Amino acid sequence: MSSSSFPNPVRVLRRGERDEEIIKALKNEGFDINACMQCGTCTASCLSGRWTALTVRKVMRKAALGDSSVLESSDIWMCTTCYNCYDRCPRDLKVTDAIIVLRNLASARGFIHKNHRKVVQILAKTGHAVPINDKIQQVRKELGLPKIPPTLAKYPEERELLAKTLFQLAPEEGDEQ
Amino acid sequence: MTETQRYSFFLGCVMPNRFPNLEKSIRVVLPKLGIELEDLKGASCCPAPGVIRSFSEPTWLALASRNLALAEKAGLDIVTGCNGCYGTFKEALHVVHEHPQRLKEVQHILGDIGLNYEAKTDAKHIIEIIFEIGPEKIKELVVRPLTGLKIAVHYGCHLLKPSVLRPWKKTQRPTFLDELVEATGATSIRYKDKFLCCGAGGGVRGSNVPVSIDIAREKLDNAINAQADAILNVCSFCHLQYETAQVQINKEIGEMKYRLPVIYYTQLLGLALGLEPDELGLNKHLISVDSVLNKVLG
Amino acid sequence: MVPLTPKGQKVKSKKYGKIGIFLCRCGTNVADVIDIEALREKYENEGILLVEVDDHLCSEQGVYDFINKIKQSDVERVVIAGCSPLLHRELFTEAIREAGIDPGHLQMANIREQCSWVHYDDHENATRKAAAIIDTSIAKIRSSKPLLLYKTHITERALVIGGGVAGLTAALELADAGIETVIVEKEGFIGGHMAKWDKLFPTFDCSICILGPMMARASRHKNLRIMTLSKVKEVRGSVGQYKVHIVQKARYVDIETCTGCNRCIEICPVEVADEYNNGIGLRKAMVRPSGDTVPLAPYIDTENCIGCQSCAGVCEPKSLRFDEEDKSEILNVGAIIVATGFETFDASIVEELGYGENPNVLTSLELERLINPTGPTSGIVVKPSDGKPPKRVAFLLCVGSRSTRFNRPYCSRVCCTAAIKEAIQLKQHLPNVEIYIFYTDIRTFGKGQEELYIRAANDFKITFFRGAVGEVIHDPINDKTIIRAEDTLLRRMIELEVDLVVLMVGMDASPTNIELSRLLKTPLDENGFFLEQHPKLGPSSTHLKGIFLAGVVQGPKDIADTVAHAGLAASKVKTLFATGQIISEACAPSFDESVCIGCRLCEEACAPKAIKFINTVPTIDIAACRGCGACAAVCPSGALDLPCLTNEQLEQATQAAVRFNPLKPAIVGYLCRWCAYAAADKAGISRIKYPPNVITIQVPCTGRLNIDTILSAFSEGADGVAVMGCHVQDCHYRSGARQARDRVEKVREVLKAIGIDKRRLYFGSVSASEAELFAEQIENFVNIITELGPLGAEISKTSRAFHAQTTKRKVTKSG
Repeated sequence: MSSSSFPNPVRVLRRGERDEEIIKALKNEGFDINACMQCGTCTASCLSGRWTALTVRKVMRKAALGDSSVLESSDIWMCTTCYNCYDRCPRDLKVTDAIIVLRNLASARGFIHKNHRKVVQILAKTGHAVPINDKIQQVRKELGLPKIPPTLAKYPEERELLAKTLFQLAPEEGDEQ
Repeated sequence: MTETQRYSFFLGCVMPNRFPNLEKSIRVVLPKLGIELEDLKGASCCPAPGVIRSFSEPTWLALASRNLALAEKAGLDIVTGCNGCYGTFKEALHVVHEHPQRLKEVQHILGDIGLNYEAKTDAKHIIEIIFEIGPEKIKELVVRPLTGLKIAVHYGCHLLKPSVLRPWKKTQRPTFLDELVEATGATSIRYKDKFLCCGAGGGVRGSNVPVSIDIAREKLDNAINAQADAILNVCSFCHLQYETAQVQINKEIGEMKYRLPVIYYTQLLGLALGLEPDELGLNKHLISVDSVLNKVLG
Repeated sequence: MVPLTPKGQKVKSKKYGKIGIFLCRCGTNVADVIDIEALREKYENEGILLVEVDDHLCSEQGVYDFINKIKQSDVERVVIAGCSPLLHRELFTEAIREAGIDPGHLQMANIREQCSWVHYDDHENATRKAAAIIDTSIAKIRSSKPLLLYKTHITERALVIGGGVAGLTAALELADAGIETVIVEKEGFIGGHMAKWDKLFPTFDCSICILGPMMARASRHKNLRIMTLSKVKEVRGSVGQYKVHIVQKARYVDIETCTGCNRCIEICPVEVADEYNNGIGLRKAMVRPSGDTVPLAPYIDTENCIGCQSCAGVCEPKSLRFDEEDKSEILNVGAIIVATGFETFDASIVEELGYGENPNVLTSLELERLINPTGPTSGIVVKPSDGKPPKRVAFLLCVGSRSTRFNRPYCSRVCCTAAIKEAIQLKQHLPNVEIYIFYTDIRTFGKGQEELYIRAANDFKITFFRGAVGEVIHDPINDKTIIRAEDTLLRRMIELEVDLVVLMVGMDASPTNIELSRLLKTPLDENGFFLEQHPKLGPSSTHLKGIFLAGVVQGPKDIADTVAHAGLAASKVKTLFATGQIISEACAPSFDESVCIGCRLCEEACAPKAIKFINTVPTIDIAACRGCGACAAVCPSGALDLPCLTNEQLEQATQAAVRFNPLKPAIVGYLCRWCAYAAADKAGISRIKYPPNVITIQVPCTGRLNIDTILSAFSEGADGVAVMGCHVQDCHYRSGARQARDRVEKVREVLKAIGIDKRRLYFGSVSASEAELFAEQIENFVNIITELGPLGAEISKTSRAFHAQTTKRKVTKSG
């Protein structure tokens, strides 16, 4: 019987198919991802996994094998970073931090949700992920607080300086997911 | 209070720009506990650990370090009322403490904008400094015991975890916030999945609103089933989640089914200390807290 | 082939004496990393009389060839380059004796544990380092002295610490062989954990039915003495002649006359939580946890007794002894078996499982007590929250095992089968109960255990889920207990409502091991269990000849393995006692009265007080001397020397270790044989890498090192010197490591004074089990020296003065 009669033919990860960048990035952050014994404590502790397709255990397995599909899937973006998996991992792996590393790699390759990109753009412009608006200025006044809080909102020159220096680090535009 | 403590008050984004009523309650309640707050002028977003740290970790670290450097310049420890900001600062300090090379990189970047940074300042959560004062002391200060008020306590995730970078003895089933709630005379009720995340963090609220709201809804249901008078939090982002989620669900289902008051700890404490509801911004909630006020004030 | 730097000109064999070198490939263990042919060529070119290569020198054939080749040659001194002396020194000691050479002239160059297993990915440097190790061994052996042997008498009495199944097995074996044996048990009764269990896996035989007769036999055995409520307070002496100080708490009930009628227990008005049943149920202040106890007499728990003496009123044989006092006793024994067992993991640490908060979350031990007919519910299994029988039960494996998170990375080895056994028992009690076992890997490897696993699934319809449980949550509204897990095989989330959750808690090393380890001078492993002499060949032995291990004290085991292990421990004691005497290598100092200046520093340095001055001359008690060499190290005139490692040998080895170290920086490491050397070996066994720059020299104790030796390393050009021994308080000679530390501190000041950075001399402490710590210290030290640069980088003119001074010192001494 030819393999084509199966809808999902067996796939063998070949040498060279391993995405060494994933493995390297995790290693640089100090994750010994091969220590994972796939016990499923992470998945079992994951609230997102109860609502979404996120299976943390699977993400860790793919990452350990250098399977780049882990970066392309939206699964890693379903993590609420509640750190339950990180805290409970019997092998003491920093699971949540590993997901953040994978997200950084995904971002660098252009796999970013448009809403996230928007947040980053707002941050670059205003210095805040959630900027002040007229309505809240009014509320602040009614509460007896200064209309503009003493944050970057009040210091436009500083804001511009930051936009010029710190945000040079932001990744370049890529294809939106 | 025997001695006054001073902190650099870090506002973040959600608190001053969406829920200034929480900011107000902190500003009026903390001095009553002998804690003085100095504004951290020119502070930016912490920045958000879910979105920004995921997007570009180096940017996240640089910006977080800038905020910490501002506090360091003021010679004070930083204090925040948002779990996310707290997480960012704790983690950002950890990164540079563990990796001297990262500290050097950050110092270089901050040097360009004229800031010195030694990573010597500490980051604290408002609830941490209140707990340092202790539930016993707070009990003594209470003039209006909130007897009979049933509170569903919500800790939030980044306040507690990762536990190795947090000061708490217990982080999976902690009790310190319950102790602080009970110090006001209110009852901290037991309810299912008390330690469930609010569902907003990690950028999920930004990218996948339905999932985020479903998670919040489950917890709200659990609190409502346990006959809570209010859900109490210590995080402006969790606060945003529980208030806006109720508004959104109500809109979706076309009826005002969800009306569980969402209260920030300093608001509850303020009431117990005898402050007026308006002083604590309790008149500026998206979900009315009148049911709570009626119970407390009669 | 790895090019090896020749040692200047070709050395004539005469200069070396008649030396033979045996290079062992150790299969591929050495040969895969180290270029043995290059070594062979080097030593043949250097004119070594006999250079042989073998695949497995320790094999029957290897030893045979070894003996014959030596016999057929004129070789007088032998270096074996291969594994650690800690592994096979005894084997080759016998072999070389058979070949007609005194074992004093044997050196083992450790190129496996301290070279090929460490630098496994650096063939070139490993080979160069191996050459330096062998060169150092050659230097050390050049002036070796014959071994002195001496006999000591053995006290043919054994002490067994711990009266559980391990201790009982070992003690009965010994007693049956006619050896007087004493069991010291800290609890009021013997039997240990096993006495609490109902049925045992995989055969479902009743625990007390097999343990009971053992306990009864032990209590009646003429060669066996059982001391309950007792603790070891101090241990002195060495193999064959230990003096053990034991403190026994008063029982207040006379064991001889008590009939075990239990009336005193019935009348006792005090009720406290019963720790024997893990806090389920209550017990009295007059304690006797079951009707099967040995001894059958109860004891009074003085912490809780209110002193009402009601017990005395009902005691017919008048067995109460309120005036009894705690006793203290010194026992003379020849060997000690440690059988102190384990404690179970405290499940409340795993907060998210709700143990201690949710009454329906139990540990495996609590369930065991619930199933047991002698337990608090007389064998009826109920939900603690409402007393009703459970309908659905979940077992959670690996609670406190395989957990780096809780510093318990090891597998406890019994929980899988124990869970299956308890699950089957539950099914037998309550046929309709649904049972789910959540596992990561099922490890039913013992005899009959896999079959039990099959039966559990087939005959008892127990459901196995491959997935660890994330959390156990409790819904207070309807009092429901819910488990969250992932069926990892189906990639599906599980939310399961259950009535009872059973946590299969792992085995913790007993916290008392720490104190006991200190008393016995026997190291613990990284998990707090006692470290065996060899994981395969010496699992019941320790690094000390008279101390043996039985049961879980060495690491988690089931009962079958525990009994086998305890039997081995007993057998080892019997072998030790067989001849009634011990022939050991005496390393008592030699004494040259003509140069002694009578300063008495040696007397002060000798921890076992083997040196006593009579008039102006020291006398040495060979039986008391433990051969540490502290006396020789402090002797300012050279009157005292250690024949098994003379000052000359030390100095020559030091010179060689510096001169022939091909790497930069070149570092000499002096390792005490008990801890640091063993830790270095363990690093190799664990394949922990560290830089190859250190050539080590084994010393009996760091206290053996005199100031001259350390300084000679520097005058020879060493870039750094590391002195590493036991943790100071754990020194096997009590004060040696402390003396070494103080001496090193002094030399550091001297170095500073002459312009050498004092960081070049390092004093480090590790226990035998701390392989990672050893590697870490070596790496840090090498990094520091690398940063400092070669010796002399910091020296200006003062260096010349230093060299002149040290050279002069040598001249004066030899002159």
